[in-house]
Amino acid sequence: MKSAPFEHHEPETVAEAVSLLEALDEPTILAGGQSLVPMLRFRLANPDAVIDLNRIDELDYLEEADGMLRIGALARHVDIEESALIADRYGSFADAAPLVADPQIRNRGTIAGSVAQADPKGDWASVLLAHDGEVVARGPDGERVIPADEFFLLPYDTTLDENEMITELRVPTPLDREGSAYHKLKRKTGDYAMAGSAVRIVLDEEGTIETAGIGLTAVDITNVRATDAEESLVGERPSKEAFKQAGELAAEQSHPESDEHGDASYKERMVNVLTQRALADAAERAGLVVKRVTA
Amino acid sequence: MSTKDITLTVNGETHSLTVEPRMLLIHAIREELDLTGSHIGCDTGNCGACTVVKDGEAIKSCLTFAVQADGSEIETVEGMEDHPDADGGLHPIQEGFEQEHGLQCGYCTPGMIMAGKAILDENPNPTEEEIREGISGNLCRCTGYQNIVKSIQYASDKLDENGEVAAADGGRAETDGGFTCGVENCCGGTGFDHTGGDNE
Amino acid sequence: MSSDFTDGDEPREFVHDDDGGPDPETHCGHGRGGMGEEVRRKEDKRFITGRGNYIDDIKKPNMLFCDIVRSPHAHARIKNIDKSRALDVDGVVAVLTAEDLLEHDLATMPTLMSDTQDVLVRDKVKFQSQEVAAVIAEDRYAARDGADKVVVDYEVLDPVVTAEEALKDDAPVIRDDIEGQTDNHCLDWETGDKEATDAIFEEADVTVSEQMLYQRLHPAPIETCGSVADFDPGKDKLTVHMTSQAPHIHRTLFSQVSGIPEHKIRIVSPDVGGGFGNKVPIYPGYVVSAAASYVLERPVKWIEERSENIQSTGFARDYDMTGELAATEDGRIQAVRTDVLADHGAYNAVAQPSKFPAGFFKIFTGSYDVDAAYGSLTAAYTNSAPGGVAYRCSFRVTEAVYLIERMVKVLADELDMDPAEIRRKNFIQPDQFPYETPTGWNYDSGDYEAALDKALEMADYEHYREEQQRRIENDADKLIGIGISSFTEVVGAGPGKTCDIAGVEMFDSCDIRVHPTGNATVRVGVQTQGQGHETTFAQIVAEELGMDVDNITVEHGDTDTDPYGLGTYGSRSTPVAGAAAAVAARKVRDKAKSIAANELEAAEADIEWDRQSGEFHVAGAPDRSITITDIAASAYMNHPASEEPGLEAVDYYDPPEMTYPFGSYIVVVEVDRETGEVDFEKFVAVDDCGNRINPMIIEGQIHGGLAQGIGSAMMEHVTFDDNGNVTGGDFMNYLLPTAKEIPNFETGHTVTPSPHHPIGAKGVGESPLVGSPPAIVNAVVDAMAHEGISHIEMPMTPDRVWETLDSVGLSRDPSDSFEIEFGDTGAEPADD
Repeated sequence: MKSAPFEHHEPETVAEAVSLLEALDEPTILAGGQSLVPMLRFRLANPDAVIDLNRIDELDYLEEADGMLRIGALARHVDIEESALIADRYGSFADAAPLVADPQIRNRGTIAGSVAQADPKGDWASVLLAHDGEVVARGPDGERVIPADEFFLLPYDTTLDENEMITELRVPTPLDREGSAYHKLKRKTGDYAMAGSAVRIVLDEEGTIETAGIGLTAVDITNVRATDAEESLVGERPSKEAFKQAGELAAEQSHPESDEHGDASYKERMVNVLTQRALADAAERAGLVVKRVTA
Repeated sequence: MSTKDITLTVNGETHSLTVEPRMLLIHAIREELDLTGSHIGCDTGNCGACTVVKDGEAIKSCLTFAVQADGSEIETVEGMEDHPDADGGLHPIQEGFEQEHGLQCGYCTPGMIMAGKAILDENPNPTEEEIREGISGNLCRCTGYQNIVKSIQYASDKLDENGEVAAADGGRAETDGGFTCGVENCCGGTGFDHTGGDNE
Repeated sequence: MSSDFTDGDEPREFVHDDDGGPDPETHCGHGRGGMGEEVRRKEDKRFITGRGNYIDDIKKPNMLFCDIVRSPHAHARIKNIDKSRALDVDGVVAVLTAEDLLEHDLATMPTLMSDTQDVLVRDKVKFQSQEVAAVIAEDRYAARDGADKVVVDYEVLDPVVTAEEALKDDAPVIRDDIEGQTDNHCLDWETGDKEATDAIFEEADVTVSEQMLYQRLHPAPIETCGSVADFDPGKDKLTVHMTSQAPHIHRTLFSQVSGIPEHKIRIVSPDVGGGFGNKVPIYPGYVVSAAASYVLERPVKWIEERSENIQSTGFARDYDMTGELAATEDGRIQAVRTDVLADHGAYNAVAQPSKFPAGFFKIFTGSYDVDAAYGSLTAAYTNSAPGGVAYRCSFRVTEAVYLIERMVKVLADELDMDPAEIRRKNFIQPDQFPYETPTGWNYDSGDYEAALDKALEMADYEHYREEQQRRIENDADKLIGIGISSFTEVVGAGPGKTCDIAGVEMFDSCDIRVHPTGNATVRVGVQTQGQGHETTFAQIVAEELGMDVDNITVEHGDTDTDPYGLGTYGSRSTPVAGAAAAVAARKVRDKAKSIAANELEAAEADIEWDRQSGEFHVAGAPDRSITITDIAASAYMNHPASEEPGLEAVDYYDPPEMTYPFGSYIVVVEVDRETGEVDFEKFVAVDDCGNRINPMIIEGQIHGGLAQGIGSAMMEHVTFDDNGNVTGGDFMNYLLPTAKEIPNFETGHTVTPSPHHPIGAKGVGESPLVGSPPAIVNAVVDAMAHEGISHIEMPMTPDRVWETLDSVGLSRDPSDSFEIEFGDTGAEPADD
């Protein structure tokens, strides 16, 4: 498949990119391009102009600053995968990165691009939701910070304005006794998730859960938070019973569709399973001893 | 129709091209530069037959426009024999594919070789699992992957050995590169290691 | 007759010693790269250095590109096609529709089963992605731009998506283009003795029955189809470079379609990036590119996209089968009965010998000595792409083996017998060969129990049976399942009297030319797509002529230079063309003897050829010897008066029978009770393909076919929605396994030569894909058999496996798999 013709713009600063966004007629932003390029090739997207962010060096970072983990719009999946900072402190990010697509795609694809694409089968939006993350956008009127909770509208549709672009994603740096994890079920490497669950829990000094965040992948029209499950966990001590209940509530709150990869009822069940598994890992990462009972 | 002037350095040689922005990097490499070793096997970015190394990283050149590669350094299978590790012949990865029967129809092979190079560039001694992960973006319909994994392991061992030889100024003799029948001391060869093969 | 053996050439075991490796005493040790040696492949260098020459690598001066406009609907009448906007696009040279092709009498083409398929839709679209118009342009981007601008006005009709729907009385008729066709019925077929079979079923102690769908698959070679057509008006000659597994028969068909005399057509099959049966049929794209080149007098390239490949070219399988076994209570299988509903798509375009409308499906009695069998089949037209190609398969043997090997497991579970034991009890015994089956096959040779025993040992079968039991008793989170398949294949079509493609007998050929300096060019009528012909055939000739394999070049794929042959599919290259190579080499050897006699001044009758040294010598005087190199020189420089100069031979080999490779595969899986995911713990494949030419290449073929078996069993499926839209039509949705889903395989072999094949070889390429899916399904079923599960449909997606687990109370909640311990430090969990 071959794309329709388009103009290619390569701004070198965010400011330049934002003015192009304003000046051009319905341009499309290209970051990693690993989802966009196939869409262009199949002519599912036919923009007259493409604004390519890849020369904007100021967007290429992954760092902790001011109490936040900050992910620049050009940080690639591989940057998360290979980051010692992430491996040490951000379990859900470390889990999710190597589960995204395949190595070549992780070398190019960006976390922000995945979030902007707003495909409910994408992984990063769930992680962002579980962590109470934020999307930082820049437009002609300056910077706007959008809570992840308010970002996703529909498949491929977000609350980002037409003349805005994502410059950064951010989540709070981990607290003491915090643990997070991401579990995903897919049929093979490179396949999208059939279901996925990102969780983050924070324990108080007594070991009671004081904060819980759960984001679900591929089981609704957008990535969604499992709010009932989150609420059920807060105030509880981590236990298999509490996690089981949370898994069940998360499943109840999901609305997957049946497709060739699986029935809706199965996907709901997997939300339960993956959420429980992620909670067990998160509890371990929060400092608890989790004993696995296996064959 | 707008076009752009770009510069690509492919296998050490710099080319100036005028391309439409929509031209995929794989088409620029194959059609404009006549380097047809890299292939196209799908339209969704799944198969990896178009894998090249761009600025040190394996990428799918069907998921990148040529204009995005302006100014970058690209390595394709055609450059492997000129690599210093090739020592005037085949690169150890290429040799691995030949010795370990890592290819059949050959169509995915250039992409696999480049994915293999990216693996070894980053991690000279990968485990089997790391090799399988590293080539998981490349589909092969012929080999079942087992011999591809062995081919990359062969290269890893060979590069190690070369390193040791260079370091020790001598070292052990290389195994016979010619054919052997599979039985030690049978055809005059040194015997072929049947790891995972018959009756092992 | 070509299958006669010259002195000392009777089939015998070339490769067999206690360790299963090559035996220095019988052959190996001459070190010239003959039979049984793991010669590194001669074709590899060009592929590993990027110098392969695949279809899209071919560039011609002044070449145009073709892109095809395809129907978005599965069933629709075309009311109008407006080309005008497309013709205005920069770079577009022409837009072709059926009307344009009609002018040149190229509007239709015959399928391999002599149905008539539109090259470009004349009136009614019959499947989604069917070819509606073709745009010819200066480059591929412009061709696509033009295709985007062709406006087609469709009247959408109700689609018929499944074979079951198709046969309902009120189903819309798809093939109203066939005179007298008033429904979607395509064909009926039956085999065996119905009466005798039914009688056994009536009386039997035990009968079992299971329905199983062998789902629609696609061969999906990593290279798609394509062509570069180049009509030379000066020579009135049409050259078509195309991705063809069978260039000679394609030339004949091209001549029939176009009316161009066959000697004015040259088909060149360049390096082919995998075929697996996908590149056996003729596709509209080839014809359109040829027509466009003919009309425009410029070379025209057509290259298929992946989605086009899966959505419009030959699919495989789609057999909905009911299997039944009748047995005694102690497990002796008395009769097999089966009924099949086949989906043939919109045209009858199955790729198989024309007298076999259900291919070789009638081999469904497998490796077992049964008293009677009966099979029946109904095929229907549906609004889906035509197909039924033999995907790494000898014409439906894959479906047949799946049926019988699944049913044996069903019976074993019903009788509570070990699945290895029940097989042993029913195997055709070595002394029963040649063995005629109830459906009329004549098996050449076999030792099924030896292969099974070897596989059981390699798989550590007893250990896994114990582990399986332990897991059940411990209520473990992961279950163990062990699956067995002991298959018999039928490959190597002809003989010509029973097997033909479009009337042409299924022989094959080899032409050997030994040059004055002692090396040789070998040309064959089959076409490699990765099987390693350039090495394997060279090894056969090296073995039979005493030459060094390095001195032999094998060529194929060019109808102007190669002898006519029927091509590579159905594992027929070694059984048929391999036989031709051996026989041609022996013809050369016979002449060489005459030259040797002249040179050694002895009577020809006194000349002996020594396989070990490769030399010719006078009987009783080994010192008076001459090499093939010296004989080659003499053939051109000092030929005997009794002979013509030169040293060449050609053989057209019509096999007397097919060959019957077999094997036993054992698969151990671990099934996750929480998610339904399946992991492969162990995968053992013991194959017997008769004498082995290049064990390295054989093992590679086995690995590849097993991986495809895993794909078939676990994830591959061309799916459709209710409107006939293909929902599994690209690599995002038609899932091929990656290196992470494929385990390491352990291969082994036994050697039972074919008694009628000149070198005792049988063919092997397809065995692993034929034999492995039932072993895999049997393994997953086995993990749940203790709760009465008898079947799971392919592909065994996690949801199907989990639903099955859940249906018998075997699914499990993750909370049963962990405990959280607060312990002494529980009140104050450790800081991270």
